[in-house]
Amino acid sequence: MIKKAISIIILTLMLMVCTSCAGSRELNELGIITATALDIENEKIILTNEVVIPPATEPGNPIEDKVVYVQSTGDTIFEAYRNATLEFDRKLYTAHNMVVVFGEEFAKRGIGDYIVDFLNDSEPREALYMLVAKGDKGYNLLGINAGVASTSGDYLIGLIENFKYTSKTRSVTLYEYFKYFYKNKTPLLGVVQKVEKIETNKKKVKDIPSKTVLNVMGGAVFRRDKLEGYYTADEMIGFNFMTNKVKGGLIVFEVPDGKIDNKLIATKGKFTTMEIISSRTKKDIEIVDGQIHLNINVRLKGTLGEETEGLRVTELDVKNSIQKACSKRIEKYIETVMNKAQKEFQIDNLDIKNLVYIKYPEVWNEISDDWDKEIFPDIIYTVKVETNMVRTGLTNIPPNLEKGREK
Amino acid sequence: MIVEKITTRQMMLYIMATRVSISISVLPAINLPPYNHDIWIMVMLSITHTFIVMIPLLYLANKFTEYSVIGYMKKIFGKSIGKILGILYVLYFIMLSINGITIQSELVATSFLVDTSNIVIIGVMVITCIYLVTRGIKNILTASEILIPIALFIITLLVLLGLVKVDYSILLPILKYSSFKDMNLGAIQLTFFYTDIFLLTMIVPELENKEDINKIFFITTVLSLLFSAIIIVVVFGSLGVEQSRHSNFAFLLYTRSLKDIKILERIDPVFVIAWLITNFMRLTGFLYLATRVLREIFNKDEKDKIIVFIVGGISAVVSMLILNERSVIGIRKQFDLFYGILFVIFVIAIPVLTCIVYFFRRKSLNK
Amino acid sequence: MISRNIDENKIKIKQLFKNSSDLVLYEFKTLANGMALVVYLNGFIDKEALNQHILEPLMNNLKSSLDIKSTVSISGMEETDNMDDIISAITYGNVILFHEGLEICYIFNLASYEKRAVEESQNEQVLKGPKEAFVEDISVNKTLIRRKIRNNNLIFEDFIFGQETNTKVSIVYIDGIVNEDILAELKARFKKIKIDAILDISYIEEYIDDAPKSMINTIFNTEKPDVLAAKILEGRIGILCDGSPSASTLPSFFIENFMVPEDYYVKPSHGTYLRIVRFISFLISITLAGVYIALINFHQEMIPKELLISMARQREGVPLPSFLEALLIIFFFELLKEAGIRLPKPVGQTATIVGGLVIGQAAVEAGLISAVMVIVVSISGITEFVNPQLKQMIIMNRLFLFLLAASFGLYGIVCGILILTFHLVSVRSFGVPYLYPIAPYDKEGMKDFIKRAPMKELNYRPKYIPNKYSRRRSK
Repeated sequence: MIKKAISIIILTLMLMVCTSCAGSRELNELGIITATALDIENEKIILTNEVVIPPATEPGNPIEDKVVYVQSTGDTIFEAYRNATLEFDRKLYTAHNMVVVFGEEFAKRGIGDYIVDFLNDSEPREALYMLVAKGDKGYNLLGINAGVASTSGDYLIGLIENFKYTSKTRSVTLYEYFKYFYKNKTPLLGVVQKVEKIETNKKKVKDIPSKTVLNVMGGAVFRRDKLEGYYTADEMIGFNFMTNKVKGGLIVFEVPDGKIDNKLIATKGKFTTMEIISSRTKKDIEIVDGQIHLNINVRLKGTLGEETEGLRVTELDVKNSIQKACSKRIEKYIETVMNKAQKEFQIDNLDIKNLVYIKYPEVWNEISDDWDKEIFPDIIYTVKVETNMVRTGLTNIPPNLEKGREK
Repeated sequence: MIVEKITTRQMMLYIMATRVSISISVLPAINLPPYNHDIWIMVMLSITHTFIVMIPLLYLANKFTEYSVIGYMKKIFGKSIGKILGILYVLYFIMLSINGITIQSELVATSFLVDTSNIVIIGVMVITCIYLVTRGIKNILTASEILIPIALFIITLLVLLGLVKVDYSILLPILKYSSFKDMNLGAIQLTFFYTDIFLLTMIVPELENKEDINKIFFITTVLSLLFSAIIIVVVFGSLGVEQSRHSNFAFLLYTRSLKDIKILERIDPVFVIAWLITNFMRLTGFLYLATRVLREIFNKDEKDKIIVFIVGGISAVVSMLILNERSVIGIRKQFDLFYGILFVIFVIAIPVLTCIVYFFRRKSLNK
Repeated sequence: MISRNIDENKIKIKQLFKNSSDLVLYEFKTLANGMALVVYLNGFIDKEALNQHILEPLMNNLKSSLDIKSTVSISGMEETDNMDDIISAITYGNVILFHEGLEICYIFNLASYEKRAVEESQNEQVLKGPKEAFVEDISVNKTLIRRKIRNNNLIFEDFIFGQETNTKVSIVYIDGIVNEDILAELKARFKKIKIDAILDISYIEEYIDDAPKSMINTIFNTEKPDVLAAKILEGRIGILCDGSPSASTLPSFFIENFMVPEDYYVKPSHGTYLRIVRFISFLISITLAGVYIALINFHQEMIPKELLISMARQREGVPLPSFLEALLIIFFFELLKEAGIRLPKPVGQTATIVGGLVIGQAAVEAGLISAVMVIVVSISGITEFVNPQLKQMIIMNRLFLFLLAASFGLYGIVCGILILTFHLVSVRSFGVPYLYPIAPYDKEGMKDFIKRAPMKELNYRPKYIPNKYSRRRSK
């Protein structure tokens, strides 16, 4: 009886002492990181982190969270993280960090060897987003918070996750990057840049005429893991169509030209918008006489967004011509991006190599090495786009026209 | 006063859990030939290979339904050789337990309890398993009837979350890049990883329906390998073939990258719970087998607890020595080879020998 | 031995009872010209009946001392010549009659004493359904059960335990439905009981318990006769104890702790819903504190970012490490509960307000404890009251899981849950597995587990209990 009691007491004491033997950390020992920027300067990696330090609250007197920027250098990323503890009093905690911004120079040097730390360590999540700072250093872009979120990391994440509204950019997470990295050796990353804008808020102080915001349009093109160049926003629309990643957004095209039965009014320079409901791209490849032919088939379902010129949308032939004009615009997007990829970059990040892998395994081994520089630029492609305008929104005729006695 | 036997359903759930636990902790299939996206077909091909490999043990289990493996070995070979074989099997089961302990400790140490020392992780694991083994096999299987469905449900949920958005073009072209020889090689090597046949054949005396042995084995093999194939498809679809081969714990990486549904964004600790439960069940099973063989050799009862402590202690100490020296999962070629050879000896060679001797001595035994 | 002389008997009895002040010895002269002596305990008997039916006939009608039987108009008369029987009879409220010249004495049962009236149960309250509860008198309890099961197969068997207290204990079952093996086992265990005092039925439970050191109760307690009747009709055995308002039933299953009689008196779907709520609150009360500590100390990556930042904000400036803080709040909660039970009613309200609101609020504002911790501990405390039968188990296991979680995080919690499940599985309540019907799985038994199937579908009694009639005789 006594033995049992003693053993229970000893066990309980051991358990209570043991509460510090397994590496538990209190919440107020963590420096929670919300955004990271990576740069290279003088052959050393500069790691900039945005750390949130919640202050001690008194009820009824809420103070905003303090945001601190911690910068450290090292030969590798892991070393830079640990070097930060020499100057900052909390250990950096990366598990909630969801965005990493690479400086342009860092990206040009090649990121594949450096970001091994994010894969190997158990703390950073593999679902974090990666961006390239266009024409700038990474740490210049942290600290700009022009949105409603409380930290600039949240602001950036909100921007990235808005991509489905415009399709002019692309969200790439760490594991997706490596998924395409091994498949084609040519992945794509999102881009972020600083933009100066005219201040429109009249209540602000008069002698700050412009403010800085961040803009995420476009894409950064990589060869293997080194940065090669950028796509513009329009090219990104074509890119997203080609890789079947369009989830929403608008197509803005000029109204169709010409008249049919004297019922069309068309002027150059006026625009119609079609909002994308869903889109599907099918790519097919054929090798004929040693020449690769690529067929691209896009089927698009859309809603008529706006119509700035008076077209009688209720008429079937008007609808057909609007659809044709939209298809033509999309074909132009795709042609622009294919041209740029083939001629200017000579990088196939449009996933065409995979089609050869699937369909022609016999020739795969021969052509896979020189694909980018030699075979890809010679591909002949044809684009066919089919747009279907399934809805017209709440109105059926734009305000410029009158229905009168028409049904 | 109510005689309880192990029902078929409990046995099926238990063996299913032990097989699935190997798949979800370290997907062994993705590092085997043919090394490309056709691995899921290789896994399904492995069903037939598993049947062929396990035929001797199953046949013996069906013939001797009142004895465990050591029981009929003692009967066929005679008492002294039977005891020597028993000692060998004890060592083999302890090796299997050490395998389980080392893999699980390394998983725990690298993925979520990073600053903890090996002693604590192994100590907690072995103490819990010792307690579980002292409850007896009937209670182990009864408790598995409650816990395993929860774990399997969690894993199924995780797989379904990824299945919705997988792009099936990664599986194309089917079979064009793999040769038949590669597939067979991979399938045979895959069977060396699953040693749960012993859990079935050693506990035959306590089963309720002894005719169901074949049915249990058949259904669990097919289901678990199909499940493994689906897991591989989902992991490839989400991570890509090459990246999942780079990572030590492919399924864990897959759960960490699920972020489509906002509520279930950081769901990997739930996965950790499911995988810990199945792993503990597997460890308990192997420790129990080792203690049972020792008990049968020395003719002790189920109530004897010292043997459990001895077996658990040995496993813990040896695992600690191994883990303090090297990594088990990162550098695994030697371990895979070692356990493969052990498998061939203890699952194929010795039962085949037993069958041959049984054929010769059949007349004298049946007298 | 009884002597013919009344005075000797009188002295002997006075000696036996050491001249206790409530012993009344009344001598009177009967018509048969002899002295008679009645002995009883004051306040224990019905004085009216004594006067009318014993004293009056004896004084006026008795012809000879051998005619006492036909003169006294009281039913239920016994004779004895043994002094030990007299002691036990007097303590049970009987009146002893000695007559001069007789070597035997007569025992009449005139017991009538103050007892609590049958009223609503304090601890098991229901909104719909019968509200009667047992009282401390065993014969009243027996009647309450008899009124529910008006069947000649309902059998009571009496025992007397306790060398000093001589308490009457009786078991009740329905012959033909009960499991004979369990009955025999119970009687065998009764034979082994050696105890000096039985003050409540739980004393007996400790002696016949299957797992006395575990915190699980393998014997079910109830205060309401309808619950007891329902369990007896399923083949269980009930135990009643004189002086205790609780009755026990055995064998008992784990799921019985979640069953409340109200589940059967409301519609099936509502009953199912209530059972689900109770089960989930049980799980929450055991695991919430542990999971919370594991998350904020070890697995901060599981907490969403905004929640993490707001929790970190609350933890700034708190001096204690998290688990000590949690232990402190748990301890404080236990203090409140204990004080609340023992406080007299007028002071009760003030104490709860002061303790709970003011001190808790002030401690949070002073920065001693964080608000989230208070919320977590109070939720686990409140959910503990949803299942009062499981109180012991919840409190001990919550502390156990909490310590494991504070030491090893989620790993410790999984180990703790495994240990707990295996412990539950390995307990047998009189040979019946405790976690029936989940494990071993029984399809018919599952109909009454979490989901409460309509009455028409509950056709079979639990498989493990009876062995004669496993199908309810409604068909």
